[in-house]
Amino acid sequence: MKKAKPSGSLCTEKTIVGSATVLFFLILWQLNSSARLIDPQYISSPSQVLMAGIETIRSRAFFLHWSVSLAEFLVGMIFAVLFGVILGCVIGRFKTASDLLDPAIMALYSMPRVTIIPLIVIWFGIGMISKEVVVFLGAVFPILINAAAGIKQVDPGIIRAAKSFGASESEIFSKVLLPGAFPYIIAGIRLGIGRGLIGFIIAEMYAATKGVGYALMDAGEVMKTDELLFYAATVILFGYALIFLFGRIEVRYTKHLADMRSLQ
Amino acid sequence: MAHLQLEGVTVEYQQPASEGVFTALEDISLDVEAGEFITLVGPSGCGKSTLLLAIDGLIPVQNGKILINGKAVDGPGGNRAMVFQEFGLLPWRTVEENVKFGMELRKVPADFIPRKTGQYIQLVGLEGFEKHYPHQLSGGMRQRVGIARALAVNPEILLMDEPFGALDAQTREEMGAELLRIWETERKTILFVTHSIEEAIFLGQRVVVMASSPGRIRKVIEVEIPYPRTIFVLDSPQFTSYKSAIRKLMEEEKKSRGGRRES
Repeated sequence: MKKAKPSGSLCTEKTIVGSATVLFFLILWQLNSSARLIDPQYISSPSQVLMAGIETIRSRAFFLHWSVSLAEFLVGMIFAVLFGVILGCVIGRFKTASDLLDPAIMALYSMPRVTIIPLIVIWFGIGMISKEVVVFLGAVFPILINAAAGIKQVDPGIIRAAKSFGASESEIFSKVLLPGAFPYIIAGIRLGIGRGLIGFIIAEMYAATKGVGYALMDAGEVMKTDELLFYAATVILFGYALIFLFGRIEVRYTKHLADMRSLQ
Repeated sequence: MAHLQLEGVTVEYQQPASEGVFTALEDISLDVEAGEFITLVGPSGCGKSTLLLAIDGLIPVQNGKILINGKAVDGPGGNRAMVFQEFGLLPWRTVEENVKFGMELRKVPADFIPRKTGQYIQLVGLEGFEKHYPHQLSGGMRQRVGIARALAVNPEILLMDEPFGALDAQTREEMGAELLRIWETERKTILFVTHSIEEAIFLGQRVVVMASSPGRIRKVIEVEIPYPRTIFVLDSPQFTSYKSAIRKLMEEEKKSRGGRRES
């Protein structure tokens, strides 16, 4: 008999029950607009949100804002992954690098990014680059810290065995350290996605002329709650899809590593 | 000329906490012939593992020489391979891929790798487990992978650092008998470190009895029990007399050391 995996199929009991909760909430929300318990001007209704959504998609504003945000997010994330993995590996491998950089990294990691957004705008302007920097700053630390932790936890016995067979430093890196740290790096990227997502929204709210964060603020200022909620829904959907996708990748590539600790 | 020559090998560690240096091995001299099976036995801290690491070229020697075929050892080389107590397998690689690991690093031509992998997996008795991951295997099977990985690079000298130390007593005896079988087909020079006197006598042609602080050779004992040896050798009077002789040596050493410490 096969065991049902929680993340395996889209038709498991768990997903059905979960979706029912969402559906129930949507019905209550829709009923409110006829019952008028709360003024629909503040919370809109699902049907209105849907109508506003169709309209924004028709006017092409939706695609304009999302294409800008998506580009900012991707560029920031790509740099965060490259920089985070490389520097994380250096920190994980060399004690001197770790001693030198750890305190600074922890300080930067624990600092809320919003505190320096004004500074970033001064340095990089109100265009896309400042948002890419904010996304980068959000995502890079969890990736870096996880990569370093992943490298550090690789069993020294394996490194010694590799050396015994004549491995060079680059072979130790590519054949031992990187595959050993891989599950940690993937987990770091998954954390980074969440923080990167918040990054571009907040940065666009602060100073921008395009983008989803800007569109949210814009709709809010003129009390278009339906349009605002439609954008919010797309952000939620985007974030959820990405995290879900990466969760799947993590399961796919790390299933054999679950028992790694039992071997060490 | 002996296959492996140790001439006055001394290994020292700088102690980070205190001011002094710690002498792990002092003036070790030993000649090992090609195809010989040598076991090294001694209390923990006698430097027997250190000696193996030095021969493998993983740690530097402060004094003396380690020569293989008359050539001084300078770092790890293709004529040696090591089997570790903690196996040192890659958890994300299958049995097959783990056996290939050593060959990849030793730059064995890619055409040979699949055939040799199959050959050595068969030699250590792991057919049918090629696609298993280390965590799916028992301790004994994991060490079989370690042995296959080391033999696959075709070393002249096999260095084994308490390879069966992590196994239960029964598996340990089984693995010992297996190792003798493999040695009889492959005829490698083997240096085998253990803290079990029985294992040392059962496997070795010569048993090097070591003593600690500083690590040195106490005595080298020839074991004149003919091969092929089976586990029934363990019950023979000859075996027992070797065992008590070595135990006596180690007890004497313990007493004299205890006396020195008190003085």
